[in-house]
Amino acid sequence: MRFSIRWLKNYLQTDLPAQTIIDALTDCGLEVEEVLDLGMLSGKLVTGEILAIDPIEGADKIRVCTVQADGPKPLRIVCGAWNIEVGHKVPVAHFGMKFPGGFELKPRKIMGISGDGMLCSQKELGVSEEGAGIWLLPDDLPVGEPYDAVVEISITPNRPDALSIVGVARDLAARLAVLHPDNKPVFKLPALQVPEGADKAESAARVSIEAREDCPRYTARVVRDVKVAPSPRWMQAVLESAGMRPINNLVDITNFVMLELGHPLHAFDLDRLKGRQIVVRNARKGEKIVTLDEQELRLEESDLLICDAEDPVALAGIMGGANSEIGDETQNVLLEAAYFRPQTIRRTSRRLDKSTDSSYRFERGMDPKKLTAALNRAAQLMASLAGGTVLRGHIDAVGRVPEKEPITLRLERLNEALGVELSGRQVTDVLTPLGFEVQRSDREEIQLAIPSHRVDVSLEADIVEEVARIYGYDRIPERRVKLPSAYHAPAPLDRVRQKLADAAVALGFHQAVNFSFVSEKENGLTGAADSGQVRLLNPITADQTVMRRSLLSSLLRNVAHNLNQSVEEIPLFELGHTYVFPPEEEADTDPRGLTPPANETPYFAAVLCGAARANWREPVREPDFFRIKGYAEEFLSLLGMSKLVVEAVTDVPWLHPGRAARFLAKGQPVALFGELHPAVLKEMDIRRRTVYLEIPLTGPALEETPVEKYKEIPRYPAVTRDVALLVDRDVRSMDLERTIRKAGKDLLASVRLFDVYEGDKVEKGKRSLAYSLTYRSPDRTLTEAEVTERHGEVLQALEKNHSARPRT
Amino acid sequence: MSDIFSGSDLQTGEYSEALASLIADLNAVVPEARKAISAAADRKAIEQLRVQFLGKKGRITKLNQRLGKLSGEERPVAGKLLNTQRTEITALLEKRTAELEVRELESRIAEEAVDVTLPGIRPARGGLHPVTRVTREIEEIFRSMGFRLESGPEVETEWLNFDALNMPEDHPARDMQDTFYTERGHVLRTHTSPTQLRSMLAAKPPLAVITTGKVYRHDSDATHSPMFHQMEGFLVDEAISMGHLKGVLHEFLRALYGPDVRTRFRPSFFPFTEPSAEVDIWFEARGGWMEVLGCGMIHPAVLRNGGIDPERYSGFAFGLGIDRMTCIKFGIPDLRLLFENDLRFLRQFQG
Repeated sequence: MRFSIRWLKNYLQTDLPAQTIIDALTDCGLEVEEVLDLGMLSGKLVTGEILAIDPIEGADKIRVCTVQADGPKPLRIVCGAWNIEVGHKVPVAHFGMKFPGGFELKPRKIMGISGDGMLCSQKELGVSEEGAGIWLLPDDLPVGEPYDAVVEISITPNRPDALSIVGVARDLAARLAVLHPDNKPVFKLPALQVPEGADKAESAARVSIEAREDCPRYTARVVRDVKVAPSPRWMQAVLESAGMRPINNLVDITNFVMLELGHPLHAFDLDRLKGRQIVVRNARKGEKIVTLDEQELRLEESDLLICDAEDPVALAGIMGGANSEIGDETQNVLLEAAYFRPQTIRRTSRRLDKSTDSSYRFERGMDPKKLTAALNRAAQLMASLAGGTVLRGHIDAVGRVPEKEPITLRLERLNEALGVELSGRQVTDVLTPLGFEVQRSDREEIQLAIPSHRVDVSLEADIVEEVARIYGYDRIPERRVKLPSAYHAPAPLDRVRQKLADAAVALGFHQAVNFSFVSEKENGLTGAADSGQVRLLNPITADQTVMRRSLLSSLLRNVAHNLNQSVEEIPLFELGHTYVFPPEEEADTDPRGLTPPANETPYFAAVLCGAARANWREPVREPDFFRIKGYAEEFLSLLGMSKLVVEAVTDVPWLHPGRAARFLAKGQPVALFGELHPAVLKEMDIRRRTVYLEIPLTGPALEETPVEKYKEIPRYPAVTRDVALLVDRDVRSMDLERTIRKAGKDLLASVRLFDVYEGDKVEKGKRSLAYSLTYRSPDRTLTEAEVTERHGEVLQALEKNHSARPRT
Repeated sequence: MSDIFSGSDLQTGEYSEALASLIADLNAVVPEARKAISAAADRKAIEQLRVQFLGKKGRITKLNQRLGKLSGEERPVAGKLLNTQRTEITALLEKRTAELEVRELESRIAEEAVDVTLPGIRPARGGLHPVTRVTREIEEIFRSMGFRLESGPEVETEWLNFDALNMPEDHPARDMQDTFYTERGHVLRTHTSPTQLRSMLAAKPPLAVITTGKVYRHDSDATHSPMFHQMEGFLVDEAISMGHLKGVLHEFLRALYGPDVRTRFRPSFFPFTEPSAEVDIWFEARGGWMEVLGCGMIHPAVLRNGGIDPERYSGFAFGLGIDRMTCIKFGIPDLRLLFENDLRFLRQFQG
């Protein structure tokens, strides 16, 4: 909603400065989005009158104007516009005026003439995108006054009553009275006197409502013998300030009344209404209407139409039809004011994607009791500005208009809710300027009649909000809360997520945050299409159609993106959910409807691709299976998981079948990792080896980590024996280690693999694994002989179980 | 000390020729040793000199053997003299060794000097996503104030996301939050508020809970992302007023933006709170107010839907967009940068 302060002052009589008024708007919930200073705030723009226009020698595009402004002497201003004449009132900018976009007016010479200021167009002032030529102001403006300020406010959806200058003025009157009790502004509605002709409106046209639910009331007036012409400049200025383009006096009047009183009106060319008749009915299936903007719309039965005896003439509450439009030849007008059911207008407007100033208001809810006031105001203006004769009376079709019940406000409740101590008197002082009427009051309660324009007020809490809003949020004192002092341990999931994230960061990974939706194809990497995918009905783009059921595709997308940007090393991790619908029959088991609709599983996932030279000294290390396995071990040990069993994975289609594995703890899979299948990488346009790890944050991952228990530090020396074992290539390291431990028994303190070799120096089909075995006894120093004997037993066991021979 | 032996221990003129010759030789050894030792260039040379003078076949040893030819009276005198000379040479060797050690250390140190301007070998460290950093900061503040952290599902029922929060179908407020729908007729939660109801239905007041998480709206441009992060908190107890709401949020903003933060509560509208407010803070750098929070007293209908009697209990709720706050904090101009996961972006945040 955009309006000018000059216009506002017709309805809010006050000598308070413009800035005070503007500040009060935000204070009471009408948030100021933008202020255009047209002189009222800075004094740098005033109304001037053109006294003379003279040519400049040698110039044929510009002239010099003599303009009376706020100084004692007229100003000389060079101007290149040709729409001005002597006697016009125009906006005159002084030096120092700041224009939208940051331009500040400074003195300069044009054709040797140093002008005294500048005449402005609407476009220069930011009032309108159009506006060729100087903005011509209303003729009756006093010369020399700072001109105006235009304010754009945003109105929350609960306040359709504030979508009018009268609504804004009403709120301001209430709020400014609180702020300036000694200088209260006066709220004033426009005076209404409709001169009526002798003929009755009812004899000139008929109205009937068929769709009584959707249209509780339809009222019309008839104005005869109008002359279509441009509307007067003052009205054009109001419309222009509001961002509307003036059209002609009849159309402008309906728009003006909507901006002034809030109620959208429509004017039909009465002579174009077949049968001089209005029928309000629902559309028939497949019926069509061509609207004013020459669009043909196909309708449904839930849409509401205004029709004449034969055809639709308007899409109710949204837009008029082209067939009954006001034109230059229009002589007789039928003026419509109606109350439409908000939901009906909203549904049609949304379905047809057609939103207008009118539909915007109707779908939020108009005042069902102000139809005649709006009609009368428009009729009055048509009589005075278009020379029409208003026929006597209204044509009124009434259905069931919603009534407002009175509300009882408990003072104690109000004070407790806000944390204030207001008296009944203070409360009614705040509420009455808004139109609330005190029906009854005592020390505890006030019974209030709710003004019909406040469609949002129906509960005691609504009144509490009204009081707070006008009394002022700033005057509510801050108070401290006594919170229950219980300690809230972090939930296991939160604890684990934080631990993993911190560790991943310390290990060099950067955290990615990806959209939860991916493409069907990406989800297809990890499973079949039909298995419970959470598919969106209205995705924004074709590659965000389903909720991801693995973090894999998101992270691969990130890898591809970064490779495209020539990033050499890509270490990323993500904490996020996967989403799968349970089988239909298992869904919604909770009678209260609290079962989450989808199974959302939290995951930790990491991806590693490429390698950069970390520094000038160390070699580049391309990631491989063992790197990611190492990370998996690291993360799992951080979560307190020991006794892990590793298992080769060959059945996960997106992993390299020879380079993938999972860890199991207590028989449950706790991590899946490995190199990605080359085919998957190709699919995702990734041309480098990439490794991936995922840990579901469920079950064992969330268990409390057991606290480490101190073990005595060994007091006796250890003896270390290294041995390189030559074994068949398919002998697994894990099995060798198991044998070593078993044979080393109590004297073997630890075993560590320190080298793996396969190549020219060993025979084909074999490899060499070198282990370092540490022998130690907790209670004595081992003798050389003891160690040699036990080590011999170990080697024998290796030979026996794995045909492993020490290499020399 | 050119003449280390004056012969004062013996009566002058009474000593033998053997002794005289020994003394003369002895007196010659020390100056010779001193000269050689001071010329020694390294410890290997020192070692050779040690052998040459003090070794088994060294000069002193050889002189020592001549003691046997002396008389019983002269022998101790000469022996004493010999010891003095040996001690002297030993001291000279040690002194020179120490000198050489210092010199060797010095030259080693000189050789070991590196170009200290070469970059250090840093362990690779990653970084938390900037949104996570802001989320943690917010969570920590509220946790320290006594709030409990809870979470809820992102695929949510329409009832919990809208209806229970006082947004019936056909309510214009539903437009404020353009919604993603799933094939089964559920929604992607448009805000974290459904968690409020889940918490209310799960436990009895007093309740002080915050939630952070992903939310979804059908909207995408530089300032709107179809997925973004919200923080939501609420408190329900007996006799909770709007004054408490102001107190708690002001405290939070002080913790986040410093003790001198200027705040402004102005009326606004949310279907699930009444009165509703938006909170602005003053940004000196921009010379203007900036909206950071939405809040209000929980609407009685919402309390009732949460199984709480609005006549007995009251409460407040508040929410904020974490991503916007992140963008402000780090000066990120476009929300979409947050979700591209470009490492050239992410590597800027390692704090």
